[in-house]
Amino acid sequence: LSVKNLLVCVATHSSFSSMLSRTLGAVSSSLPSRATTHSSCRIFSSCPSSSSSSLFLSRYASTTPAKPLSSVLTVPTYSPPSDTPSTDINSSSSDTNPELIRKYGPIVPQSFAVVHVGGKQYKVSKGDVITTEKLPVEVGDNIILDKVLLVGSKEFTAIGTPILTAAKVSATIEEQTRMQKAIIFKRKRRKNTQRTQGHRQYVTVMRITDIFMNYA
Amino acid sequence: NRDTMSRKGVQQLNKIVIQYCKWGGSSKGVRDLINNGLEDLKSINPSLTVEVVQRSNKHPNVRGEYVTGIVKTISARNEDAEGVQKLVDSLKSQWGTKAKNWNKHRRITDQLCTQGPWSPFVDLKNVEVVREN
Repeated sequence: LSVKNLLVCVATHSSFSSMLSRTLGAVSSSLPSRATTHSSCRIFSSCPSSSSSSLFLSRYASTTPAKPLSSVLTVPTYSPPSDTPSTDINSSSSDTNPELIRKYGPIVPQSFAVVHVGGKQYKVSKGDVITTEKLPVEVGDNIILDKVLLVGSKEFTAIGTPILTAAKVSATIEEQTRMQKAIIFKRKRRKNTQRTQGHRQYVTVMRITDIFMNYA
Repeated sequence: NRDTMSRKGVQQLNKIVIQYCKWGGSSKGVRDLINNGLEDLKSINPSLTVEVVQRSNKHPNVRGEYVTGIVKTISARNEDAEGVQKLVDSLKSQWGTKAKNWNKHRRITDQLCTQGPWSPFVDLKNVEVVREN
């Protein structure tokens, strides 16, 4: 486990976060518009990645608690790429419909989202299979999940109050089935009465394809 | 988009076999479907083979054969033509597995924690609020 890996991790973090800060800086300098009644969000530019790398150090260097990175590492010789377009970072598989990206914003790479579907909340990332209550969709449909409560990636966490209107999650429907039979058994003791009932709940199984977020 | 009945893009249902009897009363709905609506069934999904088998003196069945090798049979006894269509749809929208208790695993994922695992040394206080609407 070399220091080289650490440097690469730091560099990618810095390049993405610099891109992020540039876009957000541009927005903050312009009008504070687009605030609807329901949407507000707080975006945290976070330490988790740095803290995980400091965890890495602490495991192998010593057992002392984490220090800020600059005090531990010397200046890295790797120079981050300047003004690269976001296509390199945001490019995922070629299956993603470019129309969706145009409509809903760029894909957030390596991220997770908390989504509210069918009265329940799911923590969701790309490629997941989730089971929700029966939805009026057909197998093979591509749907967009609107109620996104939280989007997190390595660089930032966006917390919606209560919903992030700029974030969307896309999914394809894979299955519309019924669950395994659940037997409901009721019995009154000493009264010689008992009752058996079977129940099979209808369920929709979907696979998550992408998480979009309009940063600007 | 009814062409795909799929799991990760792979079509799960290979073949549908409808078994019926020529004179039995319970097969009446199936007979109606075969005489009138069979071509519609076949045209919706051309990659799916629909077979019709006559079995005299037996109640009617709809049988689905999946990619996994599993065969699911549903009885079409005393069903309308519409009811038989619904049975075919239900077979189409299932995978070739046994019915699971999905409550136990509502989320199936490969991705481990993106932001790194928690430890007592993770610094959650020095967090920069970049933007607050």
